[in-house]
Amino acid sequence: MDTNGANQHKCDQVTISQRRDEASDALAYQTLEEFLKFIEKRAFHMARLSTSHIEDAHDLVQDTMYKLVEKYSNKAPADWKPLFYRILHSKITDYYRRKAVRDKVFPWKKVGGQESEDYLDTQLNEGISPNSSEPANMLLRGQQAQRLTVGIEKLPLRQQQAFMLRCWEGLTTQETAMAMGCTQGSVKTHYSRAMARLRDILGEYYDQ
Amino acid sequence: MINKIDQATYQDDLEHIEQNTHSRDLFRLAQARRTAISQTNRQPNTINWLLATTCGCLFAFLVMVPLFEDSPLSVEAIVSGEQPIKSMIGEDISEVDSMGFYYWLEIYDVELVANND
Repeated sequence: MDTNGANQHKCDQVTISQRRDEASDALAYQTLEEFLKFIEKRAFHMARLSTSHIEDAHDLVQDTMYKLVEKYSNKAPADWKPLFYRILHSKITDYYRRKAVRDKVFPWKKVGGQESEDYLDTQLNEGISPNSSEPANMLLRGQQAQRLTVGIEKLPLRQQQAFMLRCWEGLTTQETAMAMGCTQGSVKTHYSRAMARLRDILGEYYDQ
Repeated sequence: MINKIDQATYQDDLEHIEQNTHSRDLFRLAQARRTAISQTNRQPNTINWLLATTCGCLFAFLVMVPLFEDSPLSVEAIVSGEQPIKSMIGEDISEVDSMGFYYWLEIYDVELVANND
């Protein structure tokens, strides 16, 4: 593929992404159950990438769902998403605090967070992917996604959060600031640093 | 522009990750969602406690009011099926004398007279 072709392809991707953002602006949920169904997979993967531990990720998502329903079910549907991520990220921060204490008190019980690294590999090996009609393409995308996963896991926690909320969830800077409990300026800083770091880590693969 | 292109590429990969969620994880997420939602069907405990306390107080009030309202004498009269003495004082003393309740006084008087004789 020549340079013009590559640029054209990337511009197409941007257009698709913009369309996707516009489509997602129309609220895809009206009830709390629809909202949780809409958000659960992304939330789980965010927690998984933040903790590198599948079981802990499930616990965090479940606790977050429970708390959202308990405390904020009377809020407007538009407020649910930032509130949900606010709770989730508070819980992830608490998780790291508890983990730090546990590691100090029981240093011999330190657990390596490598459980989720081969997440996509096991999915491919099990052959239960819903998009397995194009194996070669699927494999390539899987490898690329795997590298991105590793790249995200290398980021500091706040940069991870800013990146995932802005890039993946498509929250605005204001919503991300609310979810992270910091200023919009901090969000911009974390996000730009995360992008720069990921470009450094993944550049050689993505430029291919 | 570079940021936009990077962002679009990353978004595609992240969506790929999302679409390839394990079925066992999907099942567990559905279970977690159901558990969380089931909370909304439950009434808060405070309402139940409030209702129980109100009913208890009402019942206690209904039971206690008749006890404190009347004097012990009238209660006794109610139990024996007779009119209260209080209402009879000052009306007709003969009616009081004729009351069966004071039969023992008459017996006592008769015995006293007999002894004196």
